[in-house]
Amino acid sequence: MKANADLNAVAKRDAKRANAAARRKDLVAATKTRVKALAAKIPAMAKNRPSGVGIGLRLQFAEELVSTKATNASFVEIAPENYLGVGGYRARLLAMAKERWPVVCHGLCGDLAGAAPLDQEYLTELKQFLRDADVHWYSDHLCYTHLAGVETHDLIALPLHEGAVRRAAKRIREVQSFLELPMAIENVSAYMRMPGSEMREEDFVAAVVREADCHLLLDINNVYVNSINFGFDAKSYVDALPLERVLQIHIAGHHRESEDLLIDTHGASIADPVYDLLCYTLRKMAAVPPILLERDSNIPPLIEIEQELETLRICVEQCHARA
Amino acid sequence: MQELEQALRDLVFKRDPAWLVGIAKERQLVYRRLIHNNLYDVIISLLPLTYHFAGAEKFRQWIATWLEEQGPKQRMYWMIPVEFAAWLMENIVSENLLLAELAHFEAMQQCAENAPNTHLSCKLGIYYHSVHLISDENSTLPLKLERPIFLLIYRADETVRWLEIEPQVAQLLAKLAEGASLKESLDSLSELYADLDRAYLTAQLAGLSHRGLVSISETHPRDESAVYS
Repeated sequence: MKANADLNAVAKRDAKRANAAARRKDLVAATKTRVKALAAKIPAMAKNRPSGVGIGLRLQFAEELVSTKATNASFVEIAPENYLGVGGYRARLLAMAKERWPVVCHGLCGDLAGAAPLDQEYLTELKQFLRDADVHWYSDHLCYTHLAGVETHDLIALPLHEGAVRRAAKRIREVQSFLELPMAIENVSAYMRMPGSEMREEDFVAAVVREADCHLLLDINNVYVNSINFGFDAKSYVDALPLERVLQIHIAGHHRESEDLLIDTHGASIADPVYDLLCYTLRKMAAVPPILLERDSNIPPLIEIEQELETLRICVEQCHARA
Repeated sequence: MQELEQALRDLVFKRDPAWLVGIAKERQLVYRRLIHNNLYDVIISLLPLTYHFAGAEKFRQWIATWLEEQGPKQRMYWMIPVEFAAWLMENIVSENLLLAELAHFEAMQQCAENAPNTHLSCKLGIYYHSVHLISDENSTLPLKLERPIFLLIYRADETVRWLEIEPQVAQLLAKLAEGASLKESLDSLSELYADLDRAYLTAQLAGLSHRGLVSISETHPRDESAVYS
């Protein structure tokens, strides 16, 4: 009897263990299914989201960059105006870049406060392009790019007044809604205050962001350049911005033309005061957004760009650690 | 704001800038200089032979006139020299046909290089000078031909190439590009050429199709009801 009882006990114990193992297996399977289901629900957002330091993809070094094994760039930025509807070499480079990094798209000709009607045909093509690029947001500049029928292919400061705030905010809302993507606007460098200006630039930028319910692409070099060109305190400017709205940061070098005039050339290394301002800004932010190094002229060998990316990365880590 | 945009356009693009009142000229000049330099740079870099043979002074004058009269309309950066070359074709033909054709040829190379992968990259150029033989090593430029040459400019393996084609083939392609069928196009050419060799032209077209320069849809290339693009 005892032997039978022992056997029964062993059988019961084994059955219990088997049930527990089966339950664990079911639980693991169920968890895997739930994770899969959740992953399917998460838009590409978490998967391919830009972070760290990145570089603007320029034809001068793009081929080398996409083929290099080790790079300090953790994302790349492109201007849709250089790739939209384009095939051949550029299309291949873009495809290779997309396979390797998260890509952010930064417009150059959005004319976000201009008088000309929004170009629906262009926006339709842009929307498809952005979908194909699998981007998380789209950014463009808070400025004129189109002057009375002419594309300037440059960035021209806006008059800083309430009317311009309303005009810009309305157009940004329309573009953002049409593209079905979060939009970030960039503060631009400026060389003169436009007639009719009656606001501080930082208040103007903040007002547009608020009224358009959009995000900010904060260009640190542009803040510094303008602080010299117009004689204001760059840190106070940063203090006045809605930093919780910053989706991305741009940083670049500039050219000193005279004591009180800097030109935003993207043609030199980042200047020390701009690094300082970056550090100041990052310490005020809860999290570090992706930071892009812009180098568009006087482009050095890729190895020098890589060194600057490394310097930038270390600077960001140190600033964040101190914060 | 419309008035301000017009004022800024006049400041930036008029040969004699219309200065804004109450703003230091030195600051206004920064915008003018930056915008001009950017546009000049892209045009010169993408139309290098035209720039080389026209000479810096004349070429810059042309750009300045173009900017004042018309300026860029497209957003695509690489289209700037293409738009400028189209303006040159309209405005300097009587003054200098060779350089207008050379600019057009260089611009067509840009179009072929950047044509979307979903479309044929092939462009047709009709020139009275052998622009495809010009390089910056030429010390003399080609003389005007008695009859125009027809160049197909296309992209293959990411390289821009060109192919000289016969006038009747070029005319046939032009008709087909308008959307006519092969039969309609050949009928139309028959009215111009009494001795038109339809079989020969059809074979030429099939050869271009075989090389991927034209695409044939709907039916077999030798079928005259085919539609080409």
